[in-house]
Amino acid sequence: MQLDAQATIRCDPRIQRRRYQGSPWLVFHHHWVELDSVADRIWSACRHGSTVEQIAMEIASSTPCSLAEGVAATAALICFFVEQGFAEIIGPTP
Amino acid sequence: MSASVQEVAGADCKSILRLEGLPDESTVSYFSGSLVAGHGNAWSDIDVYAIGDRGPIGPNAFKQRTETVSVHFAFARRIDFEFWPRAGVAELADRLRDVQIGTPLQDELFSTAEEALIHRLKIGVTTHDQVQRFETLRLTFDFEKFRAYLVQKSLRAVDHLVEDVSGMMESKQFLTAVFTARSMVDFAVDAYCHSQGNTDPSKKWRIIHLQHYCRDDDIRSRYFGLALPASSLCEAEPGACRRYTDSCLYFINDIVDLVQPQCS
Repeated sequence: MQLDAQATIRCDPRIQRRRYQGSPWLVFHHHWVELDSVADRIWSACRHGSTVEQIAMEIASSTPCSLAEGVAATAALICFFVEQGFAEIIGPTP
Repeated sequence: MSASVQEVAGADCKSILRLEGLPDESTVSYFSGSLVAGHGNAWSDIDVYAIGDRGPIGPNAFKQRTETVSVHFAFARRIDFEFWPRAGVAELADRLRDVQIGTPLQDELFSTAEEALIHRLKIGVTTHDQVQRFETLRLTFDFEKFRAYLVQKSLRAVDHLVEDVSGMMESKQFLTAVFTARSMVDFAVDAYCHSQGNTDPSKKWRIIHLQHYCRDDDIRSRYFGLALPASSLCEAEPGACRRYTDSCLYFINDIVDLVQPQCS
């Protein structure tokens, strides 16, 4: 899956982000996925309408990730969310 | 807030208490409810709580699960006296102390009357001669834990309804989903107001609580838009219902993000 830097993500509103025992989880019916702190930031940024580029920049500036690592993590996590059926890509496609 | 008061709704407090032979040495009595909270209306009753080891003396008394309620009509108001046994109230305080916020809540942990008692004890006022005993009673309750419990309880209700709304839409029960989504939004606002300090579990004052505790115009306007949706939704057109339920889900997701750190 390829992502355009200006694409935004539409998160399925039925996906609930919940904290249990200090960890964030995504919950969809009987499907639960635990998030680490980077994945949680990416999910939140997706929900708030940031572009892929903006999300990668935010990850690079707010975590120990380098920009390259931030880009890689953003791309990987967005693809994961889409594959899980939690989100879809909106906007330009490469 | 001063716990001492001389009048409630224009009526002399000592005259009200005398209707039930209060105060007496073994009972702590205090005033509470909407009139004391400041949002009562012309027809609101006066609520008096009596914590002790005796029951009412009035002619119109009836036993509830734990408490006994005695009703009077005087001073142009209905006056409800709730007599609670001291041991029962102490057990209630212990039960609240044992609540572990962030772990699954037991069903029906507190009755509606017990939740009302805890909140009304927090906001209650009494006559000058009873202030010390009243404050001693209040100190036995952890009101901050009660507030966090109400947040968690409301979020739990939201979570149950999220499942229902999603399932109903998938099964094309569109109008049922719309009304359930609307109810879900109400519980989300309750959670928000509790997170901001509200300890009143009563749903009928939701709008007053929202006006008092919500400092976010966006939350308020989104809530009103979802609570008073277009009547055309009654036609159950699938697309319109989907847009409405999605808007409700987005709203509760945003509320949960604001609220949940307080109860995890």
